Amino acid sequence: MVQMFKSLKTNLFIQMIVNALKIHKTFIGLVIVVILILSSFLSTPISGYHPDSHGDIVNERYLAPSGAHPFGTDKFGRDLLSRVLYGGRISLMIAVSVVTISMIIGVLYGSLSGYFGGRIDRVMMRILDFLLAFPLIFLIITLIALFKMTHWYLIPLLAFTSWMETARLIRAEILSLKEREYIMAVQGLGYSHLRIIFVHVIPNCLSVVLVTIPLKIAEVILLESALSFLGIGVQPPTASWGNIINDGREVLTSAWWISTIPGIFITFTVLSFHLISDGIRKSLSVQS
Amino acid sequence: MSRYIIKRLITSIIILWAVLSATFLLMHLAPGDPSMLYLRPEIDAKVVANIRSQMGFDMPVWQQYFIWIKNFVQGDFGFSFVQHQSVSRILLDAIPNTLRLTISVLVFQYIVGILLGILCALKQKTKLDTIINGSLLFLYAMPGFWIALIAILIFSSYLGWLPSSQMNSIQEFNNIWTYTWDSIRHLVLPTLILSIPFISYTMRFVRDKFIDIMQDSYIVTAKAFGFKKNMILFKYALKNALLPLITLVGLYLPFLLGGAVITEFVFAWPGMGRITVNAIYTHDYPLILAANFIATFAVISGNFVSDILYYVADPRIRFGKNIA
Repeated sequence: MVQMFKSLKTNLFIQMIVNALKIHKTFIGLVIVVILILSSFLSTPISGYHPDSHGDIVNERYLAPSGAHPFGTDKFGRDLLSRVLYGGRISLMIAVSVVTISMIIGVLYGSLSGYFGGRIDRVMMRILDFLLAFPLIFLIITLIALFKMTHWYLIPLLAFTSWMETARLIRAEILSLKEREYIMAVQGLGYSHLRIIFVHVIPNCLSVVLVTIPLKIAEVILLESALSFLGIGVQPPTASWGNIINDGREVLTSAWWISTIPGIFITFTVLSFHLISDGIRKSLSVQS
Repeated sequence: MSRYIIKRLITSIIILWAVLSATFLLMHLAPGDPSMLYLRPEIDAKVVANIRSQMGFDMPVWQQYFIWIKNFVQGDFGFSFVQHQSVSRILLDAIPNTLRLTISVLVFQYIVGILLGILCALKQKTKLDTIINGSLLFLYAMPGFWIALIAILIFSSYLGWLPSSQMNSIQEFNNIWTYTWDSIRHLVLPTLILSIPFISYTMRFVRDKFIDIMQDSYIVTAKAFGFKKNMILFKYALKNALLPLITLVGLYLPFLLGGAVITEFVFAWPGMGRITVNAIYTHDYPLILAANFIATFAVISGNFVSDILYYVADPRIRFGKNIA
């Protein structure tokens, strides 16, 4: 019996992915993301240069895009193609880890709040209101300043400041799930709250989570690049899309390629994740 | 009415108090002596002792807490030893500049967002709708600071049409008109760029709302009565579609202030955001804490005002029994 249900669930899951891929745009989005991930890990072989290796500071500074350096070089003569691809690895890795952590916090918080309801729910939602009252960038700047943070902080900091919307979304979903008969049935069977939440409630709001994840990744990529651009995110010499753009800011007119190219990468990455999320949402609505 | 306002006011004050307390708590949780956030290592020991006792840092923690909250509520945010000015003075100079930017963004994005939203709703599922939606998503996907740089590159460097930084040119102005014209020219690029995400949100909101409302029974009735299409649109549908937009202000404020930080930084706009970013580089902690408080205060009061406006504008909430 349990086996049957399990296989039913996996089948539905596979069906959903197949449906999502049938939608043209999702497929394009997914292809772009896969290419980005692969190329980001192959940054050195693709470009022929290590992202941090300095070139000849006299002759190879600020070279315009050419055959040897398709994206040109920066102020240390570093190959920009290599740095942009490698920066993609950093940006994507940060985004994926942040979203993983923030999803876990958000889903747990939202499901506990929604499931128990009543006073617990009210208190938890007030805390959420309070956290959402801080404008994000100001909050991040304040935390960085107070704790005199150095580079390891970025992932926990972004995770801690980005789980709130997910929690709200999950709570709303669970409030409606809670009224379903099957939840009453398992409650009647005397299962513990924890078992009900983890086995029966959370798996059933995974569709919401699946739609949110790509959107969240896009959001975090934008946020991280903004922070790195301001000089408080990923610290040089480690390349990230945001700090490469910042590097090119002073030489915007004389070496336009440094700032423009990483921005194009950010744009297409963010766009792809939006397309993927769109596809997942559509395939879910097709299913139901 | 007044009961609702008072109730919302109390909630806002509680949140504000919680924000202040949390900041205080974080200050004490952070490594190092919190008084060192307000003082700097290069200051003379005598001065340090003097200021410590003045600001109450030599008292027990619970007394510090009350003094700190009292100071913040009264607008006394301490002294910036980096800029040799009181923090409230610095902020008072910067806030009007940030307001100039954010208000012009709010107005501009509402105008463009509403117009595009109505247009898309009327031309629903046509090519125009798809094109507008697609290009807005495309613009939304671009990081704001990057579009800003590209815009500076194109419109300031190559074409020379618009200034790339500051709020005014450094020159003497003969009369108020040239001054105003100069200010507007400086405002164009930052406003356009900061507006983009808000335009796409407002536009989608208006579009969906409008499509929804056009299927409502009272619109169908009006159509059945043979009212002119324009009259239905502008007299009946528009009013109801635009009303919920008031609440969006509350939703936008945190993002508006956050976006202003980055836009001000790129355009060297002398507002709160740029000051805050610079304060990180110079380790000007009193300024950062104060700016964070002001921004939070703005968000909380903005939410309060937009709730009240909505309450005034929508009789269903005003006369409903179940408020808040």
